[in-house]
Amino acid sequence: MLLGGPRPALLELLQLGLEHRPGLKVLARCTSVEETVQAVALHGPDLVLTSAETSGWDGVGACAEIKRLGRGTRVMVIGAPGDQATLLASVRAGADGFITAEDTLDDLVGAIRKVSRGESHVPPLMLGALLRGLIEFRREDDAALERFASLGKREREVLAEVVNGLDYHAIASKLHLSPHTARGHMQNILSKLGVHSRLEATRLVLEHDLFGRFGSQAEEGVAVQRGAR
Amino acid sequence: MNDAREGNELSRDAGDRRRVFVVGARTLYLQPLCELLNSTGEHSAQLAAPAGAASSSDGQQPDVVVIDCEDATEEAVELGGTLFELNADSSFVFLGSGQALEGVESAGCLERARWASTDASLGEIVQVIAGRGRPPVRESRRRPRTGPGVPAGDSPLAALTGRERAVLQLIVDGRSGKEIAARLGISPHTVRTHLQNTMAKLLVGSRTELVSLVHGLGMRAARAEQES
Repeated sequence: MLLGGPRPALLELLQLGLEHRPGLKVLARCTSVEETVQAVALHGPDLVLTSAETSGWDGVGACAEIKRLGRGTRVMVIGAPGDQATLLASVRAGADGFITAEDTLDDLVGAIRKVSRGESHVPPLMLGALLRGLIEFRREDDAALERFASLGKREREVLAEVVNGLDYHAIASKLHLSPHTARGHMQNILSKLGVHSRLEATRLVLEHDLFGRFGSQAEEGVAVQRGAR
Repeated sequence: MNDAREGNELSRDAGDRRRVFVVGARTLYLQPLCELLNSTGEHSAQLAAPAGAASSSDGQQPDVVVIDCEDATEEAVELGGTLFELNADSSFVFLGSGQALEGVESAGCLERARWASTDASLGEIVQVIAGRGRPPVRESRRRPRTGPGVPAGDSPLAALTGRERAVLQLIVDGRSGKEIAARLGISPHTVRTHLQNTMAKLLVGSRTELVSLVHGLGMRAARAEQES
């Protein structure tokens, strides 16, 4: 297995704790998300244990990238206790298990064994809220997709540039429109998406990966940068 | 993992080991830390949750108290304050990331405690807990707090005021706070203040460390010179 996290000493402690248990071997400790993903591609571990408790370490993004490699690697995320938002994001990113830093080593080892067998592990106390969160998210997701589908081609182009961070003038110039027209499109977009600001619109697009999912019949020239989560 | 320090074949008896109290909620990391400390044969470490730490440490008289800050410092600083009071003779170590260091530093905790960084290696953390080696502290923080014209120092003791040095000498002689107060004609509270300032300037976390440091500096020899 691989360990990924921002604090070298904590990774060392985890390794110490884990290697005392039979059948567990840590191949590497990685202190950047990039390093972690590369190490997965290189070593093909059965499981990756990644931190998601701290800022500066995109554990959820790491999970998504590892899953995208398509090697069947199991991913377990270490989150902060009670952090439902991270749990939800981790599950959506494909995580197979979630534990917190307040759990014991025995808890962790048990979870690792479960996850390695193909099961999932979610702290029981967090499960209820997770399921509710997933249902809620699904509703929002369905609504977002529907609304996105109601946008016209030009509106989608404008939206893509908004998500890329361009202001009205830049959008107008890039798409060969007058600023007035660009603004008009923007108002329609906000109204159709049911949001009140460009920021909300951006969040909606990124959280639900609207361009990625809807736009496989993608308009040419529409490029949405995937921002870091 | 090494089970014994090199060159030290004998494990010390439980009674001789340095008692370490590790306080924090992050069991996942702190449990192996305690196991590691215990395996050195030099320490006897136990883990305590923050909620019960004050009552657990009361009467236990640990040699070292390690407080885990994670990345958040408010609770750690508050806990530190409470535990400083209860364990006046213990050495303190705050454990956390670079981000947490700032919060702890600005709260003034590093006058009484050392810092062990989770951004460093585990070995370095153990060194700090064991009281060996200086934790990396930004150079600017080393400015002694006496007035201008303090010599950069052949001896770290140069940074002490006359009063602080007087108190220090008596401590080294094994005098108690009360005796020192009586002898110097000051209040016990003032004695404690001088001591705290001295410990901060010399970057030690407890009286026992202070005395070790001074022995190492040959203060007794220097004092003997003065008296002759």
